[in-house]
Amino acid sequence: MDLGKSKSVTPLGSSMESHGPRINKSAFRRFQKFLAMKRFKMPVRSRRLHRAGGIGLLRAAVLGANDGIVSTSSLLIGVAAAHGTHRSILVAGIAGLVSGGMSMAASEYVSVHSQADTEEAELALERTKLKQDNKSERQALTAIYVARGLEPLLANQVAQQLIAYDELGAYARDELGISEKFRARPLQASLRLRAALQLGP
Amino acid sequence: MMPLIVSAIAPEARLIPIASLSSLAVLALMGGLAAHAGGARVMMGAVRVTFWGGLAMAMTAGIGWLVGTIAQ
Repeated sequence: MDLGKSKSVTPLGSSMESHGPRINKSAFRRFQKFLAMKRFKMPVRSRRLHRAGGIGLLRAAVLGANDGIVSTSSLLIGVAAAHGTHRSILVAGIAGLVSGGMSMAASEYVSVHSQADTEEAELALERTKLKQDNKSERQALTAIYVARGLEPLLANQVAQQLIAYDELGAYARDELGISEKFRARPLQASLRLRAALQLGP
Repeated sequence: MMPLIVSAIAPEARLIPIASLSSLAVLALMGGLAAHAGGARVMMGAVRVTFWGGLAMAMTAGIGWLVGTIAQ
């Protein structure tokens, strides 16, 4: 979630150094020097262009709050329409608020957690496959790069270099689609929604 | 939280219109806010959230009215 708070000028990749896949720092610096030599300006990361990072948090909060408002007010109106007393209307509202918050938090926690477990299992499977049959896995990676538009020879080279550098990382990113940046964080998501539902509007 | 507070304060005779209208107003506001933050059209987001929220409230009110008339 560091995209939303990014400074006005952020060098490419500087935010990736703290977490994420292995970054070859010395090679990256050499690349920066090369770019400086060519008088190439580093792209400025704009706050308005990339909304994928911080927007997830806000969207989850708004969705949680909306959900709370719709369910609570529907419940209140339903009991009121059934000619419930003021007291029973309020009891139904409080019960609905608490149960809604709890079930939302629980289901969100379970879903995010099971996704993390699935990713972990897939990585373990990939590890054993790599041990058993290195060659066909490399061919699969090459095929992926060819499908993305690289020529077969270049794709083979790319696959070889990425494997030599960070084998499991290359397979995780390009074959399984797991990247460190979007790794699921179970507790945060759960607490976020619960707070939005219960303390929010 | 908001609908609960509103219905605690509101007079019992006018509870349904007050609670539903205030909830719909907040829903429209939140939908617009989410759309604006996501770079989408504000009007579209507000209308979408308000429509489905209103439908949910209307259906629950209908069920409550049915149950209330049958029980009496």
